[in-house]
Amino acid sequence: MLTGLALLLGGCKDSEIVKKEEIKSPDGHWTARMEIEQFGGPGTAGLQTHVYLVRTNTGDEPVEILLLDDRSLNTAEVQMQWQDNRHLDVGRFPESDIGFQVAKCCGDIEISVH
Amino acid sequence: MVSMPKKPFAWGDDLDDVQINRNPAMDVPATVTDATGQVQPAPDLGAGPDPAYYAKLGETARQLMSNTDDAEGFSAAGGLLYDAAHLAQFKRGHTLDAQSYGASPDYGNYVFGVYNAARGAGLPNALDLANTYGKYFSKYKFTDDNPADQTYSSIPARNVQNITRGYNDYHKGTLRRVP
Repeated sequence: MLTGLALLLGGCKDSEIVKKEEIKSPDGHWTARMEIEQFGGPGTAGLQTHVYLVRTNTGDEPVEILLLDDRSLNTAEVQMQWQDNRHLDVGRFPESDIGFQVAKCCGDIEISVH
Repeated sequence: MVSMPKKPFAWGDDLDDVQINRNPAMDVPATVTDATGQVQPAPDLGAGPDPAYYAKLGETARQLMSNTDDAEGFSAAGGLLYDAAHLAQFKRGHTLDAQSYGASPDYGNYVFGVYNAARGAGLPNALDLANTYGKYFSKYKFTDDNPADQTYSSIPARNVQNITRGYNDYHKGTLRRVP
């Protein structure tokens, strides 16, 4: 019965990207993408921020390099900055917990999170 | 001369007109998944509706479903529909989704617990519903800091804790009042 009720309430994935931001590396070869995903539903509210790296204009799948568990939309933001072509710096609010983090990815791109 | 209130303020004691449960101590559920959570303040309300609003909706559903003067069962059937319609409003962006008003996810789950307690659902049933819904529609990425609950494994343990807190706060008469 619960499954039926849940299916009745649902119909599709109950989450949405509520904010998206992209920033290209200085040489334009890489794009860092931030997405804030908000989950809804009965007892299933949640908020997560994802940061991906994707090679520009190649059609390659984005690689997730950072996942944050957020307590509030106000503190879900991250500040991304390319220090050079090989170093991405990501700033976050201390209220957001780091759920997953990659320090080096995609060959020789270094990622620092603070 | 300064007049003093007749009794000191306490969270939830202004909700006597809302809660139909006059004997909350008898209804405190045995299942407490987060004992420490019982003494914590309610999660960030943001601009979301007051917990009393969710309690009223739940109580209305319970009253309709348990109407003893309803020999034909119309009230009970209406209550079920009313209840299902309100449960559906917890979906993202709908009227009972507290996050839509700027509240935290924790608060959104807290008031789901409040609503379920007020509508007379058992805590395991409320958690089962959240878990079943989460299994099919949420697809969380669980992490070390935000792990899945051991029993309700399709939703984070934090969600279970906040639903439980809302549920218990309703029964204990300690719902947070908006200052």
